[in-house]
Order: sequence, then structure tokens, then C-alpha cells
Amino acid sequence: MAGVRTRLLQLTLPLVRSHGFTRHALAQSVLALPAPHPEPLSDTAVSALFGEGDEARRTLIEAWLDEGRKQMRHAPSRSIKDVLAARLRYNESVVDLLPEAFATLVTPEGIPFVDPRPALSHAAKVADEACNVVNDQSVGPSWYARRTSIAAIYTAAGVTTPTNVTKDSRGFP
Amino acid sequence: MTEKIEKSGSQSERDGVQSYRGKAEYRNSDFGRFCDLSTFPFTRFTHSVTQSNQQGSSETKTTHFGFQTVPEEAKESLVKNVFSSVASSYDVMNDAMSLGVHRLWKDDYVSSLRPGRKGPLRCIDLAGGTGDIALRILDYARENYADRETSVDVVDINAEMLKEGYKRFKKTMYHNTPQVRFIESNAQALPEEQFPSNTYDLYTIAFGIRNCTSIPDVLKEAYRVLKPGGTFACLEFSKVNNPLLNMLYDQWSFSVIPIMGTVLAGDRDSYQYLVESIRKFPSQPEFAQMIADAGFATGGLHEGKGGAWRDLWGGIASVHTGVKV
Repeated sequence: MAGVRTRLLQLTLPLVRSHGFTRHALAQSVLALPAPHPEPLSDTAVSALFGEGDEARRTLIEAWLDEGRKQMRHAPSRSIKDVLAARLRYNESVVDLLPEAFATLVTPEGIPFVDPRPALSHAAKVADEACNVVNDQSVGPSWYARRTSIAAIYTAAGVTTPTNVTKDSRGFP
Repeated sequence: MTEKIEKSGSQSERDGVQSYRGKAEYRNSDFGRFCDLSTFPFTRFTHSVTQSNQQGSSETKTTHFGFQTVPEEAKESLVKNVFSSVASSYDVMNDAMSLGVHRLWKDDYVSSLRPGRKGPLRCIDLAGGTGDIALRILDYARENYADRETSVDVVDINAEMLKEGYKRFKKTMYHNTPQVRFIESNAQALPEEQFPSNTYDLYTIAFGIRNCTSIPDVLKEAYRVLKPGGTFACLEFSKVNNPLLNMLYDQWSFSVIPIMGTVLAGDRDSYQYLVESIRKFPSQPEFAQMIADAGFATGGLHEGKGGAWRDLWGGIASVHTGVKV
């Protein structure tokens, strides 16, 4: 059931660089199918599959973030530094789109204030994935401490405040 | 249109609603006849109904008609009779039964589809006899996007319901324009010469699919007539998840609505059927799976954001969507 939808999201990811995190990018995804459609998806179809308004954009951003975590597994070595560097390199192609993307995530519709949970969740997931990739053996309280510290370092490195991210970001402990 | 039902075999009657056992024979007086708009307001496409002779057969396929079990081939005629009976008071009764809430649901349903936002759409509205969804689609496109090219084919198996829709549209600016057509046909078997494959951008069916004998056949036809990228959207009564709300809803449905049917429309049995048919419809996840099995791409198997359906008023009604990819 969700297989086709997931496939379309995967096909949209390469389009983010040229079309941004937009409903238009999602609509274009059907043009990249093995049997491409003659025209992009209608606005109604994009809403039916991915959500209405900015909800569709959030779906796309979440899919892009999920793909970023998968890319961490292809780091050149199994050190935290290289794994997180791989994650930052994934951002490079769309670094100028990230401020608006994260702003969209933290400002849900209908709520007149910023919701930090998506940003915190993103940092936590990156930290957990990094620990899994390096085969972290922490247990108990140190399991939480390790992930919290990595999430804090990742956040401080400016991924969630992308104005500080440059194409040559390095410097993890 | 079915001219006469001849039946033999045993027949039981419960509260005026007849159940058929044994042989049922149907005779069609029309078959694929085009009608001149000046003499007959809508185009009729009928198909020969299967004549079955399964008297005493243990292999007779059955289906539900409300809480009753009837032969499958009998359901279509029984449902037709219900809607022929209620057609003239359909909208009044909808207002009475739902305290006007059905209007909110239909407004929400159509506005969520945003017809006309990115250009004119070719729409088909099934079981759309009285035309309220079609009118909402055209008004929405016109008022929000100055779209006067979006068109809707209103299709219904019941001529009486279509007549009501035609009368409604005669009071609007869309009458006698290419924006609306009324066609009598069966949602389970849309004739390909009139409804070619890959034609429509939007397929809607509101409070109608539960009355069809074979929901998978309806979904199959919907998939066929939609263009690649076209959207299927179904508004239908569904399962209420909250136990307290469900209890109140059951009380309203079974205690109040049939009495309203008696008082306002003089037809208790038809409204009894309508409330029973709601209870027999598949649950939201089951129906979402049926839509996916028909080939549509849907959201996840859950309600709400990113899901295959949206509940309205706690699940009293739901909007299911799918896209032909």
C-alpha cells in the first residue's frame, strides 16, 4: 500500500536540489518512473498521497532526513567523526534550502508558536544512527549519555542552524 | 431501466422489505439507448442484467442488503427501489438525519480536493444523482480559481435521483453547458464507449459506494477511467472509534432516523436500510486496503496526516483517497 508512495518519495529526493522541498518536486516524481507519466501529478494527487499544504513538504523533508541517516552507513570509516562528517556532506547539495526546511518542520500549521520537537527528534535520530554505525556498546545510563552528547555536538555543529554550515565543515572530536 | 421484476420461488417479507429466494428474472426495456436532451434530460447506458435460475441452489451467491442477506443479483434492484422511493425527499432527509452536518462534510470533502487549482479538471461523480457534489465542485473551481472549464459527469444507476439532480442544475448557471452531464449507468460496469479508459482527472463518490453490490468492481472501474495521476476520492459513512460516541450514534441511527423516514418521507423501510447499510460497510483500514488492492497508491494504513483516509466527526464519515500511478 505505501510502497508506491515511498517509491515516489525516493524519486523526489534527487529533485530537491533543483526544485526545493516543494509540492512541485513531489509532483515531478512521476516523470522519473520507469514508465513515466505524461505530466506531473496534479495538486489534488499530491495532497492525496503526501498531505495537504505544507504537510506534503514536511513529508518530503522527513524523507530526505531519513535518507541522510541511511547515507551515514556509507562513511569511509567507523569513527564517530567520519560518520557525522558523512551526514554533513549529505547536506552540502541543499545547504541553502535547509533554513526554510527546518523552519517548516518546527512551525506546524495552525499552531502559533515554534515546536522544537522535530528538530530535537532529528538530532536524536542522527546520534542514534551514528552510534549504531560505529557499533556502540554502551548500556544503561551511558547509552543515553553518549547519544545525548553526540546529538548536542551535532546540533552545535550547526546542522540545525544551517547558516553556520559550509561545504568544508569538519572538526568533530 | 428495469421495467418489471418477475419473481418466483419463496419470498419472505419483513417490515415491507422483500427478500428473494429462488428465481428472480429481470427485464430491461432499454439497452444502450441515447436520449435526445430535449425529450429526456440524461443519457442512459444500461447493461443486460444476468438472469439467474438458481432455484433451491445451495451455490447462490448472497450479499447483504442492510442486515438482510439477499441473492447478489437482487441487491441492485432492491437498492434501486430504495433510492427511487427516497429521491424526491433525499436532500430534505439528509438535512434532517444529519442535522445539516452532511453539508459540512461535503464542503470539507470538495474543498480538500481543490478542484481547479492547477487548471481545469475533467471529473466524474458516481452515485451523484442529486448533483450536490458536482455542484460543489463546479462552484469551488469557479469561485476560487475563476475556472469555467472544469466539467463533471454525474453518473447514477437510478433515473429518479438523476432527475432530481437535473432539476437542481436547471436553477444554476451550469444548466445546458458543457460543464455538466447526467448519465445513467452502473458504477460497477461503466460502458467503455461512453467512459473510455484514462479519461478523468478526478473520480468522486459520496455516500454511494456502500450501496453497490461489488465494491471491488466499482474500484476497478474507477481505476480504469482515471488518467495516470488521477485521484480517487470517496466520502462514506464509516466506523466510529469512540465507544461513547458510537453508542449515541447507534441510538440516533436506529431509533430516530427510521421514524424520521416515516414522518418526513413516508418510507420507514428505505431509511432502515440506509442506516443498516452503514453498519455493513467495511471499516476504514479494510476499505483502504481494498482501494490499494485495486491498484491505487495511497497513504499509510492509518488515519490523518500521511494516511490513506481522514475521519470526520470521530469516524461517522471518512474520506478515503488514492491516486492512479
